[in-house]
Formats: sequence, C-alpha cells, structure tokens
Amino acid sequence: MISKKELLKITGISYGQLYRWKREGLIPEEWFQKISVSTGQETFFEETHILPRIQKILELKDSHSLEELKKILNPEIHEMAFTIRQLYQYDVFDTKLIKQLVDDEAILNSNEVVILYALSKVKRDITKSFFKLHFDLSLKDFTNFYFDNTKMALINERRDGYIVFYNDELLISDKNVTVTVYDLSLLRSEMLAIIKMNSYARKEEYQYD
Amino acid sequence: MTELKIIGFGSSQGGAYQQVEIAGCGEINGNVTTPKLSGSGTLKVNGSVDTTELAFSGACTINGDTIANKIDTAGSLQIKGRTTFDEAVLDGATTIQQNVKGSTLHVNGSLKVEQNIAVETMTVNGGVTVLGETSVGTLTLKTVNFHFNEIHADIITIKKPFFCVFKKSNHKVDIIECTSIHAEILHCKVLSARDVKLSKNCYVEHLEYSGKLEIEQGATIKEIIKL
Repeated sequence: MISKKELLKITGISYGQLYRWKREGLIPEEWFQKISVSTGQETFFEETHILPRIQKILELKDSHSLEELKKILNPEIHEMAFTIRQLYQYDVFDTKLIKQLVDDEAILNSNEVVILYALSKVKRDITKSFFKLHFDLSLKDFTNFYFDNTKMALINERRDGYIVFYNDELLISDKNVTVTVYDLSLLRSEMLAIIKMNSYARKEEYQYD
Repeated sequence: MTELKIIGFGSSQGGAYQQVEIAGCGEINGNVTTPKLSGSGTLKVNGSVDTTELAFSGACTINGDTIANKIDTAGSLQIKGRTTFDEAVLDGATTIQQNVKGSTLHVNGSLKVEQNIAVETMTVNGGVTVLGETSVGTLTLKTVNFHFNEIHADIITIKKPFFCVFKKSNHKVDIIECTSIHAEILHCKVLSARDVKLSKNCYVEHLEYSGKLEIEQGATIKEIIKL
C-alpha cells in the first residue's frame, strides 16, 4: 500500500490532478482506501494498481481526449478481445469445447466468448455422460450478434441435447422433451463479473509473488 | 407524449411528459421524465426526476434522484436522492441528502449537502455546508459562512465579502488538500497544498506546502511543514 502523500511525491502530480482524474473516472473511486492512522484517517492505494495507472494517464493525456482515455483505461466488455490462452485462465470454460470450436491462435470478441461460456455452462449442467450436445453453428455466427432479449434453450430429447436461440417465445409441441432456458443477457453479465474478479485475483497473486 | 400542467391544486401520476408546468401547488406520484419541468409555487415529486431543464421558484421537494442538464431554482429546494447536473444555479435554501455530481455549481443562498459533492467549478455566495467529501476543480467562496469536512481541489479562492458579520460566521474546514489556495478567511485543521497564500483572518493548525508560501501578518498557523 502507498499513502496519498507518497504517491504525489513519487509521481509529481498535484492533489488537484489526482482528484480531477478521480472525478473524470480515470481512477476508480474504490482505489481510494481510507485507513485509520494515529493522526486520523489517511488515504492509501494499492501500489500495483495506482502507479501504472498514473504513469499511463501521464503518457496519454496530451495525445488523447478524455473520452479516448476513459475507453483505453476502462475498456467495456464489448470492446475486449480474448486469446484462447486467456480463456483457459478463467477456469469456467469447457476445454474440450474450446478445442472443438476454436483454433488455438484465434482471438475472440466478447460475443463469441459469451456463447462459449453459455455452452460450457450447458455442458456442466448436463451431468449424465450419455448426453450428446448438438451445436451446429460456428462461433463466427455470433460475432455481431445482438444479445438483448435473446434466450438460449437446451432441448433434451432422450439422449440428445439440442441448442436453440430464440427471441420471443419458444413453442414445442413434443411433450417428451425437456427444455432448460438460459438468458444470454444474464450470462453476459455473469461473464463480465467473472472477468473482473479474475483480473483482481491475478493482480493479488502477482503482488505476493 | 402529453404535457402536464397543474394550475391551482392538483396531483398526478409520474411518467414521461413533453413538459411539466406547475403554477400553484402540485404533487407528482412516481418518476418523471420530461425535457422541461418548470413552475412556481409548491411542488412535491414522490419519485425521481430526469429532465433537461428544472426551473422552479417556490418550494420544491424531490423524494428521489434528480438528473438534469440545467437546474435553476429560487426558494427552497430539497432533494432526497442523488443529484446530477451539468449546470446548477441554486438561489435560496437547498438541501441535498445524497451525493451531488456535476460540472458547474453556483450557490446564491444556502446549500447543505449531507453526502459527497464532486463538481468541476463551484462558486458560493451565501453559505454552504458539506458533510461528506468535496472534490472540485475550482472552488470560489465569496462568503464567511462555510463548513466543509474535507476538500480536495485544484484551486481554492476564499474571499471575505466587504460587509460581513464576523462573530456569527462559521468558516471551518477540517481537511483541505489542493494545488493552490488563496484564503482571506479560514479556520482549518489540516491544510496540504503546493502554493499557499493566507491573509490575516486565517487560522490553520497544521500546514504542509511544497511550493510557494505567503502568510500575512496576523494569520495564526500552529505548525508549518515544507515538503
């Protein structure tokens, strides 16, 4: 941990700059941690978070607008790109499924990753090993897919599981099938939370090494 | 979308309106979304307000969050939720119970914020009390009545008005951290800044500075540390 005073001394920035960047959303509010000290309360930061962030802001502030800087520092999930190696680190994806659907060198956008996450979840939910999952689409079909209000259903007919995507209502006349519905918007939010959690966990790990 | 006009006494449900106009005593039950909410008299909104322009004179109570590009009020304004704006001109007595976030804030009268405030420019003529943290780019106080818990700012200017009653004035700040400060009147426990200029009516218990220091004779500084 580094105190605010030490931070200003090391980086050469002023109180005004530090708090302006906080107001502008370039430094997350939760990074300002107030801790009780003998003289009252003092603000501390995680060195591993704050020092690279300030260095990055100082590097980019003259060549980029505020909006560009915000996007660079806090990329939204829809702007992220993932390598296959990264996906293995998250520990929520089915490895066999990744090998089956994607090349090792592929870079996936967030839509494709959400579908992979959803399919991995389906595979986890299918506990019986004789269940065969049918998914005939390619991940590329989802590159520009619009997720809002879209649901994914696993239709289980005897030993086979079929994946379908639908928007409004799913009508099935066969009474011998069971249907499990997955909300893709929710899965997308879940995925984002996992990515954030994982990224914090990895930073902690790095800190103690 | 329809217009909502209350002339005299009346109440309405919330919703999306093309315009909301009150002349008299109005109550809106629910959240309101409208490009313009204006009027005079008394208005109570039991919900949140999302508008481009909020212009009201009289007594306005909003029992929810308020989002407005421009707020221009005269009289009493009470907001119980969070308040976000681009520009706000508050004439009269204003109380905001939750966080305030905006670009430009002018206070002519009294303002009490019970949580934090974060704005780029803040000018106060009258009185201001902020119980949480104040994060501001440029803060100009043209008053002797102010009470802040903690100020983080770029530039602070505190000017003593020509006519002021000293004995009843309250010009306390617990902690100030800023790039530069020029104060004509101040009572502060901890002041940390790069450049400091204090006039004779200033009292600071602990002063830390790293750049220029100018203290007028008559100012009381208990402890000075050059960083």
